[in-house]
Amino acid sequence: RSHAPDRSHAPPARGHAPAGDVTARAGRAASFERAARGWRWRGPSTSCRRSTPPPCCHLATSLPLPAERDHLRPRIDLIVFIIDIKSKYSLKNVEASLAYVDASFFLGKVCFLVTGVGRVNNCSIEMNAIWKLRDVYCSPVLLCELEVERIQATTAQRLLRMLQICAGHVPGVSALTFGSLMRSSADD
Amino acid sequence: MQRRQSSKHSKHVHDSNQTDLSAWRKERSIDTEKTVQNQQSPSDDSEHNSLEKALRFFEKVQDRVSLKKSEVLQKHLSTVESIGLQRGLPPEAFDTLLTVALSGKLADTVNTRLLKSLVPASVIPETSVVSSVSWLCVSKCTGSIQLLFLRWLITMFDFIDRKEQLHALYGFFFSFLYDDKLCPYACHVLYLLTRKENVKPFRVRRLLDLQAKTGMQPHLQALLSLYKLFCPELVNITLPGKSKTYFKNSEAPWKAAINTVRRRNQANSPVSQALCLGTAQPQSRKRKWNTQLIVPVSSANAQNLVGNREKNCVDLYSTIESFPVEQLQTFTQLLENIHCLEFPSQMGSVLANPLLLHYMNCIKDESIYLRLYYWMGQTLQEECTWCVVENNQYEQEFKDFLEIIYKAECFLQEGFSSCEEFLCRSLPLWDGLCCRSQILRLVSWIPLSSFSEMKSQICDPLAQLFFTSSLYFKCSVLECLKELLQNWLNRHVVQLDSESDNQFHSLNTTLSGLVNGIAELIHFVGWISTVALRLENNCTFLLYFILDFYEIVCDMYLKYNLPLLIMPPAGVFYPALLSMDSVSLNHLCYIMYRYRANLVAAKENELNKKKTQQFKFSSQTYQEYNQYIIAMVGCLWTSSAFQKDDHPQGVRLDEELLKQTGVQEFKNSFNIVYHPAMMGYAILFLQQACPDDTTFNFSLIKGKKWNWYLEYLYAQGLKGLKLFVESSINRVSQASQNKAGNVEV
Repeated sequence: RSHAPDRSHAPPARGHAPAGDVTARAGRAASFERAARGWRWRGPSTSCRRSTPPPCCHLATSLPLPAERDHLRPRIDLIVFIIDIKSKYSLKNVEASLAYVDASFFLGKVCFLVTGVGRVNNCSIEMNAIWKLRDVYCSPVLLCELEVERIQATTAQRLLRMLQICAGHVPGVSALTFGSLMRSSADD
Repeated sequence: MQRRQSSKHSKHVHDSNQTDLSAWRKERSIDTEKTVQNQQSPSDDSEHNSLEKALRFFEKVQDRVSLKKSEVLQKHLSTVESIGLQRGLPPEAFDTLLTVALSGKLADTVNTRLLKSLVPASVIPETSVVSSVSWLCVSKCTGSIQLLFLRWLITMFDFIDRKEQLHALYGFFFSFLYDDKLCPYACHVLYLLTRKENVKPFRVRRLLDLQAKTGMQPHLQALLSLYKLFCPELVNITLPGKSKTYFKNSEAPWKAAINTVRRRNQANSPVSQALCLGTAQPQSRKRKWNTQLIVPVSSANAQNLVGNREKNCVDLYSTIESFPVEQLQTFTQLLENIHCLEFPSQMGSVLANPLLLHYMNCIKDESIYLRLYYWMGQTLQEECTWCVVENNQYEQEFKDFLEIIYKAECFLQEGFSSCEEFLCRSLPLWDGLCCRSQILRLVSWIPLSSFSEMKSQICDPLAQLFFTSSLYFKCSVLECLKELLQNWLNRHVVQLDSESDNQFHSLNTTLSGLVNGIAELIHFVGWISTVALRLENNCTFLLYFILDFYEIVCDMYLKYNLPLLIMPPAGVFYPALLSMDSVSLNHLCYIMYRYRANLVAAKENELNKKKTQQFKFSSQTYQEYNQYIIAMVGCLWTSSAFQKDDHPQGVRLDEELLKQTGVQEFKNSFNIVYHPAMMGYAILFLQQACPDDTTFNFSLIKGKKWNWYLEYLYAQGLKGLKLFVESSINRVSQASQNKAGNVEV
């Protein structure tokens, strides 16, 4: 089962942003979403008087998103593809959905989240396939185990920090810089 | 009163027909009545009674009682199961139950259930195990039960109270190797039991024959490696290096039950039967971990062994009786018996025992290390809480285990190789929260040689986590990398000392490797620090840890005799120089002062040519330093940073831009009076110096007042600033202080 939650963030206008609509497909996705919502937005520590609106999270099981709601959809800042290493279908679904993503997103606004590392004995996908995805699409890969609640919360916080950068809230660090940082190795 | 009642009940049961349901039902209702009436008696008593009844039943059971047909058998079996899996069975139960399970009287389904519920509450008596081995040899039970028994024995090995007789049965266990199905588990049992005297040529030959027949199986390889380490002359074949897993995990059916019993024992605070040697530590109650980490007390044969030792001390040519480590109490005992100390079969008990760690440090026997590393690697891999989801509930125990490993590493002042392998495998999967401080502490003991090889498996996942995690994680990682550097430098100094004692000059080859490795680490830290400061918006807390790291880096030449000097990157220097708080600025001043001291010393050594210098700092290093010092003095003293700083990432600004800032006299207005970190001090100073003047006129601070101001700052604890000013700033004359003097490089 793979979910592709589109992390969208409302444009930084004055006033509060409309809360995004969330289609929770499965219990796991819902709790992930709850963890994401519950995280308090920690804005930059400079004197930024405007209150930053909370992040909106949109979940989908595959792409493309339904065209009818295109005009209502806020700007998308980060796309996270969740791959479950215990399911081959999950990887195939993600690979199929990747074709529908506009090329500009791959400049740091796409990330792969691989779950199921706690059950390495049951994994049916080779890690090589994941690394190939990372290299071909130039996007970072995060590994986690979403079955554990605490790791859910930690992973949600990590993704939210990435979102902060991709939405442009960290001065001096762009999504592209950050994406290349996440993929570079210590030797570079 | 309780006992009278129970005897009445047992009599009741045995008199009546066992298949009489009415008797059974009545007994049960009386049981419940008893528990309700006498609320003082805990449920333990009633459970104990029902267990006693079950045991008596099993003692007397006849052949071929079918489980399906006999409700009494079902009932007693479920009693044993429930007690075993929740509380653990008392020692006296094992003899009866093992005999029943292995004698083939009942069906295999019953035997399997019995074996799976044989979890001890405290210890397993050795006699029951010995008698069950004899049953095993008679082969009354089926092959699958034999297999299950061996697995049970491997899992419960540490709970057996004494093992002398088991050691005597070594040959019997060896004979089980002949059976193909039992062979892997028999190898595992032998691996646990083997001592040096068990390694005989005929056994080696037998193992080699088996290997020729079945190929190099991992379990055979394990046993052969152990034999080879005890007696290398007997095993001539070459064996492949450390294999990661020799034996399959045998403990799955009992693992949950063991943990349940352990937790229960923790809650009820039983008396721990293990003795902590040496220090007066509070007695740990953890069962599963503990029985591997504390040397068990051996009671019975102590007298015999002492007697033997006395005899053998006289005759030097006789085989020296080995001194069992259970009796090791004091350091003097260790020194007296250091030549004949026998290690415990539970290698993990070495880790928590300072005396045994001393011993490990001195001996050259490789087998000790092999056994310890193998056990540690297995345990780390199996109990890792994020690699195996089911272990997540046992996180506290895993944390404590990692703490013990860390303390042992600190004691021995070096890392364990099995730890490095574990970190390599598990860091890429780590979420950054589980056992965070323990894992980072273990990272700080990785030796330099391994670090260079494993850079991609350690640095890359750490960097990824670093960039996406919280401020506190970033600071923890920086602290851990600082400890890592410190450990490498300490080790280098120790090696230098020991080598100079031996007059062994092989410094050249190893020194360049060391220098390269350390340089790589420093560049890595510089890179992640720069990014981190950007991400956290130059947070002071983060800067503190970064500057702490560079405080070690700046002094490497003078303090650790390492010919390496690396300046901090601009992304660290400028945020520290222009920071809003005085702590960072002070720290930076101190670091720059130390850099200067190191560079000056290096230059002097070079010019004096006292020692033959293989290394000298390149002119680029001096240039970098000079650039920084110009910027710094410009910022703090001469107000000329914006004009003179020509560092590519520096603070140079055109004059027009400076005019646009609206600062009136920008040629005088950027120094330690106006620096945002220092302005607070300037205000306080003016309040004291000119108490009547309410307009804070900073331009008053000149001339004599400038010196007073400096003294005031030094008195406020800014020692780093003092050292920097005194060393790097040459004051032309006391009179003209506005245009402070030249900079000496």
